[in-house]
Amino acid sequence: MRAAQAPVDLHAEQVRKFKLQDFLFHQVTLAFAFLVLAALVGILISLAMEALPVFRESGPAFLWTNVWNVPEDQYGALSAIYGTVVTSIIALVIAVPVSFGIALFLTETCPVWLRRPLGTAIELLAGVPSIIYGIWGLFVFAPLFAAHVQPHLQAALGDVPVIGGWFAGPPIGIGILTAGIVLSLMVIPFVASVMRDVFETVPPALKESAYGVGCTTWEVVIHVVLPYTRVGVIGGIMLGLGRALGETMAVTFVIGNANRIVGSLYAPGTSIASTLANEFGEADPGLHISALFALGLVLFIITFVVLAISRWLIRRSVAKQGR
Amino acid sequence: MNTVVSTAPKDRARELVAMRARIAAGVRNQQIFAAVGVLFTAFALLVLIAAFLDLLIDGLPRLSWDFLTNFPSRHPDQAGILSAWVGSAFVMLVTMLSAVPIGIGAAIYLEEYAGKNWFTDLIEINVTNLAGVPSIVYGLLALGLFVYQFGFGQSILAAGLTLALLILPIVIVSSREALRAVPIHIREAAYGVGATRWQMVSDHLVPYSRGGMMTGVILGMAEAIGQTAPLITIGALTFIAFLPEMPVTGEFPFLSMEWIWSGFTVLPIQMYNWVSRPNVEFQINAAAAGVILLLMTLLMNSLAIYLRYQVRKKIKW
Repeated sequence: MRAAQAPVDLHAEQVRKFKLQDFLFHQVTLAFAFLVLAALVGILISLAMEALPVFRESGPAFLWTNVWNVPEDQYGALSAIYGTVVTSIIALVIAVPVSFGIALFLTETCPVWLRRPLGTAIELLAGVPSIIYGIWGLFVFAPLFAAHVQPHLQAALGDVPVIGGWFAGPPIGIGILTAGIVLSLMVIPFVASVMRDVFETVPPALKESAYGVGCTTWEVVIHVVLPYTRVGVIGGIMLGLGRALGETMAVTFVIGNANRIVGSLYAPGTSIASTLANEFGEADPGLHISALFALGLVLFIITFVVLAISRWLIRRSVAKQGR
Repeated sequence: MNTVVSTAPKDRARELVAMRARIAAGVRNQQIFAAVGVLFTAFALLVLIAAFLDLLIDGLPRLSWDFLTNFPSRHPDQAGILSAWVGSAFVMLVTMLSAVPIGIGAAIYLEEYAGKNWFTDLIEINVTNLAGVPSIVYGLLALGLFVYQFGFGQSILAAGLTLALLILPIVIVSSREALRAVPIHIREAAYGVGATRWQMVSDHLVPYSRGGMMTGVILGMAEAIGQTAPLITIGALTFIAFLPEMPVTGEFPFLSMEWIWSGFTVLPIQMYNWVSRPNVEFQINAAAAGVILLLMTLLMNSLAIYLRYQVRKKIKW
């Protein structure tokens, strides 16, 4: 030990160093967190800026005009919005009950030894790249669907008033209905694994009490599991909807890419994402690119609103339950 | 349940019948319910497995060493995916190097530093919002920001950063969960012996939550490697007959960063290109590339699931 002063200085020195280290670390992590904020703002600004020319040209009417004429430089988003919404609705109508069945099966009725492998399989399926679904839809599903399903559907439902028109037209396999179905297959593993996680949050004591007073599994599900998990189930469905709305590759291959609105679900159509994927490569700078950016902005806003609604629903039902 | 207790034997018999009917209905519902559950699960699994079997049947015969080491070509039987998988690897490298530090850093900030105020709330809401943004919109952002504004061009750098943004929410959310799983007394013990926050985080939190963080990173990378849409808009090229300059060179300083500016293609883009060609031979090439892509994502996802299982099993505080 040297002079009595030295160790104290050394200590102060070290504390200063630690403080600096900690300060720097704090600022760096803060900057990273801030980047997340900047990314979202960046998306909005860059979309809005690039979309500006087309809105200046046609005003808000861009949203409800049903033209998409590249040679004449006339653009309207209606057909793409229609296709996006209709394919997503078809996808949800199929995917929600099926995922529901899968999730309930996995958590309630499945033999225990089978739960882990089946659950893992579903999770793995949820991670399969969407282009794989797209290719399968184009090469395998669409021809099969056109040959073996569409004619029968048409024969069975074609004369029914109102919905008959949905199944009109030649069964070519490529179209809005096919896109909706391929989309639903893509969304099912995702929604099912979210719902399974949600169902697993039900406290065993609640379920066991219900079984104890003689409920069947069905009654336990209806009266205990569902009321308890309603919030999460809605959240899971909304997440699935968000996926379906923005899905590109699974839809692009099978929707047919026709910028028009036809009442029949057999007819080719287009969605926002598939229009973007198809036309971006060869779009000329100018109004065309701007119109594509505007479509992107519309898609961004639609998914944003869906997410916001799901969060609001969740908050409301949490408040109602008083938990 | 307000069943009237009756004494008359006739009434009692009727009650018994009614009760049996109720139980029978319950059992029937139960059976229908179980059957529907099995049916749905089997249906979904079968359809999806059929899809992959079909891909395998189409693609497997085409898989060979040549397929992995050839550049794309006009002749379908000579075409390969060399530039595609090398491109995928380089893009993934950029994605990992940017998404991992940023994601984990942001998670550490949100869990350990952030106070409860509007700014924290805003960032938290935005992480969820970012997770919901469709992937093709990320492509538009990348075109507007990285390609037009920053002048990165249609490069590996632009693509890697785009995918990094895309998987950022996954990395942040899983890292936060991993950090949150470390019990508070570990933090307090570290502070108690005089550690600074940085020391506590780097010596304790990060090592203990590494498994959970890795899970999120692998899941994110598996997501990124299959992404097609965002790279279409920033203009990944579909016909690349060269490799980016290798990062390790023979002469001083042995490391070259030239590759980040290189044009590129990735596996899904190569598939997209092949599918859009009318020639059936090319479509078989697409299926073969699809088999490789599928195997890679399945492998990465299984690894993540296994890791998560291990982490959950091992950790007992």
